[in-house]
Parts: sequence; structure tokens; C-alpha cells
Amino acid sequence: MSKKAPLSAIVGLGMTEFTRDYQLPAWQLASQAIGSAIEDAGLKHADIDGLLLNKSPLAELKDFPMEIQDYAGLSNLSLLSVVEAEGSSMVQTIQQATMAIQSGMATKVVCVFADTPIQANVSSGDAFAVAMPMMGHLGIEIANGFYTPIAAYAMAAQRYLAVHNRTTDDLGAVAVSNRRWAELNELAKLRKPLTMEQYRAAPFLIEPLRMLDCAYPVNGAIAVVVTGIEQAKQCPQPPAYIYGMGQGHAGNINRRGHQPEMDTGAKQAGEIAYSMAGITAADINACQFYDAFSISTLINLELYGLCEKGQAGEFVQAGETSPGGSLPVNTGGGHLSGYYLQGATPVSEAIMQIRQQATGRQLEKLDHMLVTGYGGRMQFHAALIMGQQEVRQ
Amino acid sequence: MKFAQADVIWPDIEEVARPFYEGMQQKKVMIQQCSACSTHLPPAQIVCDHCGCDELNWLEANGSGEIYSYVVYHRSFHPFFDDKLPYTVALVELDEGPRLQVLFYGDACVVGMKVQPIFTDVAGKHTLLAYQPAENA
Repeated sequence: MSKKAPLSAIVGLGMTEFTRDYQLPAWQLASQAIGSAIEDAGLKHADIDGLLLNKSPLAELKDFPMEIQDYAGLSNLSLLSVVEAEGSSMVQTIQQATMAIQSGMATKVVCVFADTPIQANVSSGDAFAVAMPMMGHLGIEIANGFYTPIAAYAMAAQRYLAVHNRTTDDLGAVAVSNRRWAELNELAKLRKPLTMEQYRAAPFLIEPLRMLDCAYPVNGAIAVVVTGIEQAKQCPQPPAYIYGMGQGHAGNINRRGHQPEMDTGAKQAGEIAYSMAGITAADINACQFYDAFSISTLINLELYGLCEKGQAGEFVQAGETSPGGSLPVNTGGGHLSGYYLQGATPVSEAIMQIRQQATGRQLEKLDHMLVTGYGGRMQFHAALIMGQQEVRQ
Repeated sequence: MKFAQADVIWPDIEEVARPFYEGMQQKKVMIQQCSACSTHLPPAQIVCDHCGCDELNWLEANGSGEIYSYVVYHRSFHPFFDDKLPYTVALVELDEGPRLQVLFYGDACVVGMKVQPIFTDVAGKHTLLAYQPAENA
């Protein structure tokens, strides 16, 4: 396979403060982040001709409306859309921005995510107390008390551990690896050292998952500016190039012969993205996974071709994904210990790493970084291959 | 997505799912089958995921199956379940192939365990299919 030229580049990154209390509505946070991203890219508002909105599935439309265009002062748009594919949306906005730039529909596209799961009278736990629609129109989840996304991932985790004859230490190893990265990242929210002994001693929340296996929600917004590779050279920040993009949506088939919890669309998303970039999984230097729950990191390491099936736990326990390991994963602490802003979390960390701005946790070689998003109960997947050099070594 | 509401302990039943709920009232486990390729499907589908046919029939499953996966709630996210902790929700793979999400009643749940149906009363108003370990397991 021959390596290929980049498709587009991310040249602007804007982030609000990430808070554990309610300060501003999502639309206002989004507008702030958009302004920061445009300034970071060395552009003016009038330069922006595309806006793609990643609305949180939990947010109400009034908190994140199309009018963010106006609130952010953008009146010169030839591309405007809400991109809705749950947790895979942020990666998908960057994919759609890239396609729009390549086709000529737009030249400088802002992609933005904002959410405020923590409200004045609502804890982050209650904010996610939704009935998980695992059985489609049967709707039986309410009668069974099957509430919160945690349960869907606990179901996947139990299946994974049983099929591969593993223990919850595999999950704990992911939590510990993330925490070790978070210790190095000033943006991360949970930075107190975490040992496997402490993990084992923590009570189950929805068995086999503990609180430590779950994302740490914050209120905040992240925006990026995507442009073409020639335009990117004019911008002040080092471009974060996009080399490959893929999606995979394998459905939710609940019958014998199918394991939707484990055989997800991540495999297809990875294969398409690797092929587009002209690389294989062996070329990946680091990963920024969407990791709202520890189990998904194990399954994604396997489906993206970075570990054999059932062996991701050993890989993580051996420290390979931790600081100093052979395949750094979620180098800002990820969703578990960093900050949970859905698909914007892995994207933001990837950009900081590629720009050599990941203070305290900077990686050296970043020719190819895998950046992913997934949504629902892991049925919607999108992936990017990003890197720091236009011509790769 | 439907947020937890204190006074809601039973779903609004959609028309496509009604035979399953009516079956529960009669203590039957109802599934679907494709009229074209005979694939057994979990309720409530309108198209066969195997062949795309949209003529699906309802039939009564024999009821027995095995645990595909399960979770144990140690925290309640709905007041109705506050006094029921810990409770177990399982995916049961029926002998015919489809999987159902159910409450599990028993000392210990294990992936692969043979299970049989029971029908429980919910607030004196509804009959809910649940599962327990098979007697001959």
C-alpha cells in the first residue's frame, strides 16, 4: 500500500472552560468555542463558510439550535447542518467538512460540540438516567428497570469477559491507564493516582462496571476549524492533517449468530480509514478513542486491529497503552479521567498532541493517530486517521 | 430517549409490539418469524434482518433459553426499583434464536446458564415475562 496525501487539515481549536457546575447554556458555550477556534486559526468570522453542529443526544433543541449560526456571528455560510449520529457525530462533522472542502462546497468549516449535562438541579448521574432502547420498538426496558447507558455497556462487558474468560481487572487496567495519562494533563478532571487495588475495592455500580469504568461528565464546548491543505499552510498553528476517514454501522441484531455488543461497526470504520490513508493498523502510533466506558477501549483495540480478539486486557495490563507504552491510548485521560465532551474529547486531544502542545504528556512520533467516535450502545462508529506531517516518513 | 419518570413503570405499547404484550398476559413468550426465509426474529420487527422480507408472523416460543449476558444493578435510577436492589437484567437467547431482555430471578446469574420463563405481577396491573434458572439445569 502506498501512503497518500492528506485530505484536509484542522487548523483551529477552541475550548471553553470545562466545569462541574452549570454556568452558561450550551448555545453560549458553543459560540464562545467557535470564536476561539476561528481566532486560533488566524481567521476572521467572515472567512468561515461552513458550520456543522454536533448536538448532544441528551440536549434539548432550544439549548443547541441552528441559530448558533447567528449567536456565533456567522453570516457567510455555504454549508450548514446538524450532524446527528450520537457519539460518532463529532468525528462525522470533520468527515463531512472534509468532503465539502474537497468538493468545493466550502473552504473553511467550523465543527462544534457543546453540552451541559450538569444543570442546577440535576446531577450528572440523573442527567443520563434514560431508558436504553436496546430492544427497539418493543420498549420493554422501562418495565425491566434498564436505565442509563451504563447498563448497555455493562451488558457488553459481561459478554466480553465471559466469552474470553477474563476478569474485571481488564476493565480496571483501562481505568488505571487513563488515570496515569490524566495525572500528566492539567485539563483533566480526575488526576489523583489510581491503583488496581483501589479499583478492585470500589463498589459495583451496574455490575460488572464500577463508577471508575464510566465517563466523567463536564459542561463545556469544543470547536475546530477544518480547511484544505493549501489554505492550512497560511494558518499560524501546525496543521493537524486528516489522511483517512471511515464509518461502520453494524446494526443491533438481537439473535443467535450475531454479537452486536462485540462485533461492532468499528472494524469496518477502521478498514475504510486505513485503506484511504494507505496504511495498516501496524502504522498507528497512538489512539484517541471515544471511551465513555472502559469496556469500549478493549473492544476497539481489537476491532481496529491493534490487538488480537480477547487479548486487549493483557495488552493494557502490561502498560502498553500507558505513558511510556508502545501504543499510547487516550493520552489526556480520555472520558474516564479527563473530561467527557462526547466525540470532541478525543478530537481535542489529538489536535493538541499533533501540534506538540500536549504539555506534560507530549508524544514524540505522530505520523498516524487513530481518532474515533461511537454512539448509542456502540452501534454507530466513525474514525479518522490524523497526523502531523503533510509528507509522511 | 426516554428519561426516568417516577410514575412510569410500564412502557407505552406500540402497535407493532402489541402481540408480545398480549402474549405475556396469557403467559406466553411471543416471537416473530419471517414468512420467506423462516428466520426467527426478536419482537417487534417489521422487516426481516436476514432477507428483507416484510411479511412476518407471530408465534409462541417454547420459552426455554440460556443467558447470553446480564448486568446487576447496585444503584437505582428509578424510584420503583429503589427497594429492589440488587436486581439483575439479562439478555436471554431463546432456543429458537431471538434474544429477549428480561429481569432475572435467582441466586447467581451465569453466561450460558439454562433458564426458563416465569411471569411476574407488576403493581397489580401488568404481567411481565422474567426468567429463572431452569429446574433441570
